[in-house]
Formats: sequence, structure tokens, C-alpha cells
Amino acid sequence: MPKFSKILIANRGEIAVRIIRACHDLDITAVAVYSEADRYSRHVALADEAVCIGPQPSAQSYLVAEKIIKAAESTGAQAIHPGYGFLSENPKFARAVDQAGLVFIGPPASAIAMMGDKMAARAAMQKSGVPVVPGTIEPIGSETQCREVIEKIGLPVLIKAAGGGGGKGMRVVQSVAEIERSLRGAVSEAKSAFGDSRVYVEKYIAEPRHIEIQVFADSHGNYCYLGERECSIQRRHQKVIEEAPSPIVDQTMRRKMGEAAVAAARACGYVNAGTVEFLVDGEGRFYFLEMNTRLQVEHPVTEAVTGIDMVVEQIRVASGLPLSFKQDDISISGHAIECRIYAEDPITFLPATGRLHRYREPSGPGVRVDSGVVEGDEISVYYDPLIAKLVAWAGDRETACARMRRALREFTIAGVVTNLDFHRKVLENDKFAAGKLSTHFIEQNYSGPDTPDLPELQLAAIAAVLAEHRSKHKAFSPRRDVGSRWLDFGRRMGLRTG
Amino acid sequence: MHYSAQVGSNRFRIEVKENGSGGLELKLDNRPIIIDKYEFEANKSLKLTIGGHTAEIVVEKNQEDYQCWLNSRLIKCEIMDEKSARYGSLAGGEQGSRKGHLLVAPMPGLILKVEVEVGQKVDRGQGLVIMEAMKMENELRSAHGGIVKEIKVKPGQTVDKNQPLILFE
Repeated sequence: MPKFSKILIANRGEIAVRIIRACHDLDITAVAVYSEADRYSRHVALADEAVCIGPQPSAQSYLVAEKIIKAAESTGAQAIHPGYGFLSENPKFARAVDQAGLVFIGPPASAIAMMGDKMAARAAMQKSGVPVVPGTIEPIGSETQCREVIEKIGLPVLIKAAGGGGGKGMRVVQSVAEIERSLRGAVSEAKSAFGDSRVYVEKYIAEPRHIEIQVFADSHGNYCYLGERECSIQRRHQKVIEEAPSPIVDQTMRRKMGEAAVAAARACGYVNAGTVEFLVDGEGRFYFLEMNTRLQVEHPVTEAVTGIDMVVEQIRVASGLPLSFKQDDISISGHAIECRIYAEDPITFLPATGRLHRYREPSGPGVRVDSGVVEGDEISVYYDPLIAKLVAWAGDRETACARMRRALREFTIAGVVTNLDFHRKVLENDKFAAGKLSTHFIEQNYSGPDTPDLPELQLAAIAAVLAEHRSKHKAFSPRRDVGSRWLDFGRRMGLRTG
Repeated sequence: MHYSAQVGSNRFRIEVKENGSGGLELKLDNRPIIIDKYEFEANKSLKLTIGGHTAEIVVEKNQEDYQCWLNSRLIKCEIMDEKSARYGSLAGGEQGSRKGHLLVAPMPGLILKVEVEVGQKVDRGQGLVIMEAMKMENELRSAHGGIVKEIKVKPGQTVDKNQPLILFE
């Protein structure tokens, strides 16, 4: 058993809930931290203890390392799990946790630092024989240099921020005329998103697949890969649907990619769970993209097909235990798909806000929902608009898709616009069903959700008319005011009542 | 009582009559609709049984319209009583309800660039405004074709959700 008896979770929302559950499965006391706006949120309610760490903006709460370490010290937690986002890939935070005599549940700060610097990572990967996309190793210093590189590797190219990911500070350049504008856009966006304006240039691979390998390492020098996840369905360069296994990866390719991923992890002295992302071209050639030095949003699909509780394993490994499995123990069983349910417009994909007036999650055979909200919660502009992760598992891909469609139909959300309709549409798409995926899938195959049919429009019209009628004709409304002496009194006194 | 309901490009004429015993008689475009049962619940939801099928609709009143949530989908609905609907069409408005359309900020953020000028003709899907929100640059595009009448924001300005940005003729 792990040596920890109390762990602090430095996160919020669904991932905090997920980690609290792993703690409880291990009989470990879970400490939540929360901003003032999250006082009554799900992760706080589920935790055994909770510490308020400041006001609503993340920069004054979830991103303040000192407050989080202080909360761990004051509650007597021995370890901190950072989740994803926030401080999870901040080497200074990992180091500060170490220096406070606490355990950071994740890789060593040095590994985070190396992989966090996308250019240093590329260089290290090249050195250890992991294939990388052709491009620059050094940051681009000027527009002239950018043009030189482009001349060498040929258009199209991708300009990317050195300091981050998630599509921020990223521009595709298709023609020479676009170079100046794209470079400027990427630099300014990189600066505002990551405080680091360095960018680099790499060859743009047309219609690639995004396939990533889950790796796990312990502090005893054991390395394993837990198969792949295909995450090609992306909008705004961010994943929305992920699945395991990939429809195009067979045993041989899985082993090749797995071994390359393990080589990448070894190159930075990696410990704990990590993900090595690859771009795969039409011929099945794969190139190192980046390594995410944390638990991934989409980890549940790997859990579903390997049967391994990855968060439990993370806690075990962080406490010094060896991995509970060997490479030969890992087998992929069935097929799992995850749909990220976001509060966002299903056409523009812009984040949406609002209150969850109705919120009912699907369940039933093969369905898992990871969420951090309950009915009545507010989806605010301050945090990630992810509402829930819906995962469907079945013996094969086709059945898993059918289960996902069923679960998407069951999911009821009112009050906040979501991408549920987007997911329904993709899951009904023939190309998706055939596994013909690429990171351009959405722009090529999705033109917006189905519009409501006539009976639905009529129902909505009737509902709105009844609401209007009720508001105009008080007698018709449910008689809330009956029997209130104070209201009668008020009326007699000529006071206005609502 | 007669109402006119505008849902997207559809307009329905709905007549509501109370039958005295708490029930309702409804006609949609002169066709009788039998409502077996209806019930307004607390948190804004309406349960409606029509012809043996029960639907649950969350109805929220906005400034301009009703937001109806049905099957996890938002359907916006403008309601007028018959009188104002008639005046609306007399005033020459396109079907009475459609005023010059408006681009509003879909979320709070910072205006980086306005890509059109007053008097400019824009096509559906054309980029209008670039704004930064959640650390991402987003281009807001036109949902309709039209002519720009007024630009209500400047680059560098922060805007709230639903704040008007561009008004069309």
C-alpha cells in the first residue's frame, strides 16, 4: 500500500473529483482546495477536507503555488496531485513541492522542464532516435530567418509557440504572402498565453492523425507503455473525441510507437504517467509532437481498455512503489471512446456560459461519466468550459459507437449551450464509422448540427406561448400566492406585490 | 387569447383558451392541439403531455425572447400577442419581427480588431471582429449577409457577454 494517508488535490472540476475517487479507493484522505466561487462545488463536497485558496480568478487561487503548498502543510497532507492544467506542468511548482518536503504526484521537475520547452524536447528526441517532424531546433529570431527555413523545408509549415500547447500561438502558413501576418499572430498569442514569445517552425503534415502513447515509469527504472489513444477529432486544435485503440494501429505499429515513446520517456528521466504525442501521416509514419508530463484529460479510454486505474497507479508510483504491471501484462481489451462535453456553441465552438437548469447524466452498460458539476451549477468564464467526459466501452468499435450514440441521446443539459449535438453528428458520420480520421476531420465533414425539426419547433413555440400566457394572466399561473397573509396584508395596504 | 410565435424562420399562430376547469384548449395555426396534461415546475421547467408523448421543456424568459431547451438543444422563440404582431408587419419589418440584425459578443473578452467598416456590404460567414477570450483569438463571423450600419466597439476595448458589437441595416 502507498505510504500516503492524506493527499491534497490542486485542481477543481471533473479531474479533482476523479482524483478524490482514487484516493478514497485507496483509503487515503482527500483534501480539496477551492476558490471562493467553488465553495459548493462537487469536488469540495466529495473531499474529506477542503481549504479555500482565494477569489474566483485562477491567477489568485488555483495558480498560486504558495497557497496550495501552505494548504497541504496546514492539513498535514503528504503529497499533492496537480491534475491537468493549472500548475500540473509547472516545473517550479513541482520543485517547490519537493522543497517543502512533500511529494509531487507526477514526474520530476527536470522532466517537466525539458518536455515543457518544446524545442529542447525536439532536440532531445532527435538525439535519442525518436522521429521528429522536420523543422527548426532553435527559436525563430526574425522574419528573414523564418523565410529561410521555409525555403529549406517547403510550404506548408506550422508556426508554433515554444512555451505551450493546446493550439494557442499556432499558425499554419500555406503561402509566402501569409508569413508575416502568421508570424506576428503566433508571437503575440504565444506571449499573452504563455508569457513566452518564442516560436519555431516545422513542416506541416497534411491530414495527419493525432495518435498518442500512454507511458508509465516508476522510480526503479521500469518503463511501460499502455497502448495508444487516437485523438484526431479536434476543433480549434483541441481534442474533443478520443478513442482507444486507434482504428489504424495494429500490434506491430503499437510496439514500434510504444518503444519510441518509452525511449522519449527515458531520455528525460521520466517517472509516473506521461503521454507521448505523435503525428501520423497517410503512410503510417509517425513523428514526435510533444510529451505531456501529466495525467491526460482522455486517460479514461486507456483505463477502459487496459483495466488499469491510472490515478491509483500514479499515487502508488509517487509513493515509491514499483509499477504493479509489466509490459507483457498489458493487453488491450475491447474499444473505448470519449466525448468531451463542453459548454460551447456547436457551430462556432466558442465557449458558452450559463447555469445548468437541467443536468442529467446518462448511465447503463459500458457508460462512464466523469464530471464535476451538478444541476444548478454555474458554468463561468473563469474556468475551463468542460462539463463532463462521456466514455463508452464495448467489445468492438461499432458497438462502442452505438453505446455512445445512446448515451449522447440520454444526456440532458438545459440552460447552457453545449456541443452534445456536435458529438451526435460526428458519431453518425459514415467516415467516422469507417475510422477514416484526421485532424482536419471537423472542417471537412462537419457543417453544423442538425436544425430542430418542425414538431420540435412547434413544441418550443407552445412552451413559450404557455409561459407568456402564464405571465400575463395571473389567474392561470400556479397559485403560489394563495394563503399568504403577508401578501393579503400588503395588498390591503396598497403595496405592490410580485 | 391569440399569440404569434416566431421560431427561426417559422411563424406559428397559437390560440390559447382556458376551459374554466384549469385545462387548456390550444390551436396551432388553427389546428386543435390536445394537451393531455401540463405542469410548470419550480426551476423553469414545463412538462407537457401531447397525444400521449411527454416532453420536458425548460423555458427561460430573456429580454427579447424565450429560450426553450428541448432535447438539450436551445430553441429561441419570440412571442407577440396578435395586436403587436400586426403592427409589426404594418411597420414594414420583414415579417414584423426581424429588426436590423446585430452582432453581439458571444462571451466576455477583448476586442483586437474590427475587420469591417460602416457602409460595407458583408456576406454570410465573413469575418467581422477578432476578439480575445480565454486566451484564444476568435474571429466572429457574420451569420447573415447585410450592410454594416454602426460599429459599436474599438480595438482594445473589453466587452461583456451579449454586448452589441456591430449593427446591420
